[in-house]
Amino acid sequence: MATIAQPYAYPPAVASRADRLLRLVQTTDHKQIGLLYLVTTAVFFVLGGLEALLIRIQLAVPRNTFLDPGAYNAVFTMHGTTMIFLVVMPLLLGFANYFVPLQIGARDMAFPKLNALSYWLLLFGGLILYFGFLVGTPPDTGWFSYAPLTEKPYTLRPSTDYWALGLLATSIGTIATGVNLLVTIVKLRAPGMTPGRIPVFTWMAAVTAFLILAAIPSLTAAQIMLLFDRYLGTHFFDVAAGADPLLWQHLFWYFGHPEVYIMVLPAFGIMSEVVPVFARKPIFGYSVIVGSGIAIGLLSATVWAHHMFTVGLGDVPDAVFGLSSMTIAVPTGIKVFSWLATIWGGRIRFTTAMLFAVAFIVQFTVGGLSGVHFATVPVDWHTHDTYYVVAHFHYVLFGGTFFGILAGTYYWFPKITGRLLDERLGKWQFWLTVIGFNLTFFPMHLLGLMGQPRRTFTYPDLPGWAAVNLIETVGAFVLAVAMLLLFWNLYASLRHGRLAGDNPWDAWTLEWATTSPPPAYNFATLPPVRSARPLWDLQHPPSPALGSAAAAGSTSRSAPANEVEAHLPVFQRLHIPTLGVLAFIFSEATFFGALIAAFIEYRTRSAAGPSPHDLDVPRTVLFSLALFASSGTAWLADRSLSRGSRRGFLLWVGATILLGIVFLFGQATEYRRLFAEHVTVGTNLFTSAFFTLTGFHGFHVLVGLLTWVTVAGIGLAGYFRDGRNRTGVQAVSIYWHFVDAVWVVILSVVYLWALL
Amino acid sequence: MSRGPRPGSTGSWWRDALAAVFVAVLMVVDALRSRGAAKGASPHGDGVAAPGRDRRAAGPPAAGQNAGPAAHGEPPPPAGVHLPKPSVWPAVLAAGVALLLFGVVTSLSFSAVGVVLVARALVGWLGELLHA
Repeated sequence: MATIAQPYAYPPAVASRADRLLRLVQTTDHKQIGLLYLVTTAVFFVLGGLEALLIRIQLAVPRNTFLDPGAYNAVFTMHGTTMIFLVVMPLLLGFANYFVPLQIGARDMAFPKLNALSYWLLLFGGLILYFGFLVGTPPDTGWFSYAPLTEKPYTLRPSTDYWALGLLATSIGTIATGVNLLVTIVKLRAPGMTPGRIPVFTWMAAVTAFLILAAIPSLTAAQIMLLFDRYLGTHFFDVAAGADPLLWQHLFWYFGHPEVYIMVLPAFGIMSEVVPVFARKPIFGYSVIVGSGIAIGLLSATVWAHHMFTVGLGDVPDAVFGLSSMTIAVPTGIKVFSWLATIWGGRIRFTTAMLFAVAFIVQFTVGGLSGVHFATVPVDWHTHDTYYVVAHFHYVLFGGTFFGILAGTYYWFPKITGRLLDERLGKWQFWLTVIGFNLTFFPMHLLGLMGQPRRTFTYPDLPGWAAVNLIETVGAFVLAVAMLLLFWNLYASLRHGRLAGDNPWDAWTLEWATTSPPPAYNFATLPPVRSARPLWDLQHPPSPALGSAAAAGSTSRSAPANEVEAHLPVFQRLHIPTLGVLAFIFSEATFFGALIAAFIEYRTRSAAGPSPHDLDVPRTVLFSLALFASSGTAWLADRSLSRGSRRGFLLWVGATILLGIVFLFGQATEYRRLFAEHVTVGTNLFTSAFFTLTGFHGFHVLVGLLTWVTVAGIGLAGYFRDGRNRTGVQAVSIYWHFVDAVWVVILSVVYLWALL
Repeated sequence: MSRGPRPGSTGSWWRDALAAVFVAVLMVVDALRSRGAAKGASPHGDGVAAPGRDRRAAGPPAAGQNAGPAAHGEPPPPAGVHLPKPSVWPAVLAAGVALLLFGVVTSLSFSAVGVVLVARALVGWLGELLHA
């Protein structure tokens, strides 16, 4: 099995440039898509890095005029947005794309085409975002784009629209990736890979996927509300119309803080792969390190308001969110101790990857500790709008996550390309990065405590400020040199690097069981998976019998008995499309949750104009019965298909479509009546929330109906003959039941509540 | 329904030019796709790649399957291995969605092109699913 592969051979020399481009556009191979992610994020990283340098040049001296305030706002907005949405998050998803299927012994992701769609949405979303530069209206309201600052009276130019629409596109793709990763990890693991044997990086990718589905739809909902305010005249963030000035912040940070863990957890996973391999010891406390990752994922949904202590939430919310924010430090600390315990007593190999991993531990701990400061409410009040925050999150996201990414780059580059990165250049790059990073960001702690405000384009010449800021700018340029060295190393090693072989680090997870680079089909054969370190097991067989199996080199993928197959948990017994729809529904629940929360906040907030009491409740209840009945007919359709009755199936699908149309007709006539009474989305807060919530539900019903019509069409063409291809129908049914279930909530909150 | 003024909606030559370019790109993509199909560029088995527990992909390959990797200078996959089929529709669908959104802030002609792309991609995607 351990054959040395030829160096990276794709694309082949025989293919013309047009053919290569076409193949790239058409690819559904998770490895090529992973590479597309990595290359695209590298380009955006250069852009984001240049923006960072512009910021540091502007701040190098007091009262600088290198950038005017507007340009500075645009540059720092684009720097943050680029690094978070177009670099760190997709870069980590690129690694997950490439390595999760390899680590679990799969041939690809569960939904290869959906995977390709995710990548292309990232690229096109990024282009929309940067299009603002071409027409002279770059986003300039911060990466958080707080409303009401982003409302029309305050931001007339379309800069905010490019920000919202570009990120909408990337968010759709990211949610699709979340669905894909979850289903892949649940359904496509190699025989024998029980949950306790999944590599830690893959575990963290699963938690990240869960967080993506739980958090990102909240941002999507907020962005849609913002766009509706700007284009349709709704009032979600219109304080003059009585809107809650904190609604945006709640929705944004409900996404924003889990987003931090979306960016950190995969880096934790990389650390948990790199540290044991180069310490030559198994990870200390596998179950604890996985459990702490899950705990971080769950807790991260309960801490968002610590970003809002300065708005005056009140003592009780401050205490609750302060406590939950401190709590999350516990599982995070467990991870740090686990890595330290893994290193302790190990035979450490200080490769470049390991150096970056060690630096990660130190720097991330600094960032984590300053994070605990912000969980202490009075400290947060004093430091929140200062450079102390900038120092904190750069220690987490650069000193932590990005160093983890660099460790992963040096660790996995040989697997991706078949060649090793140059270690000498790597160590130069490491030291330059450490020096540049700490020169740039450590002094920001001091400046923050001295009171220098963040997000401002210049500062007065107060004692000490100028010198410290100049040091930071020098550090930023040292970092730039380090990154140039990295890119040179990547380029030169790709062309002339030393051949790596299949497993240059003597690592233990399955990605190292195939050639470097892996073939399109990933594995011809797989070793048996009897622990979290299958390749270590192969080298250290516990018995002569197993030894002979190991000597044979491998086991056919399909040959070994799957000891867990008979006792699969419920999720693993579901078909892939069904599981995919369930994961998607989870994200949809967050989306509708945000819209419903906004409706509850606004249903009676307007002093004048229509209110829920003006709705025709009995009539809506009547039409709702049609929708609820359609769930029953959908179930009957599925049952007919399972019994092989094609005629019955088509009949019940037809009934489902008819009932859905009746419901939509009811909704359309209700809208017509309201419009006739001059009640529109822009009338007041209630109508803004009402039309948005019910309109989006109606849109989901319409999409469901179109899907049912498609099902009926292909059913008439004989696609479901003899009950075949039932899993697709089951997936559509589940989506339809979900749409009905959402309407139960909407009917209760919007209509029936009005009767009380 | 009060519709606010469209920022940046003043007429500009580049919007129409870009819309025309996108239509041209759509036509080129369709032509390339047809060419790829004619050259047998999509011979892989379809669907979910051989999973650990999911046995759907474990059947024998159809005639002509697995020629793709060989064309890439790689050894052909072992017998019975199904690889995901290449498809242009995810890229077209993403372009359609992006144009649909882009048109909101620039010109609805982009959104119209986006709708066409989305519809074409969904039909193409569905067709590939049905033939899998």
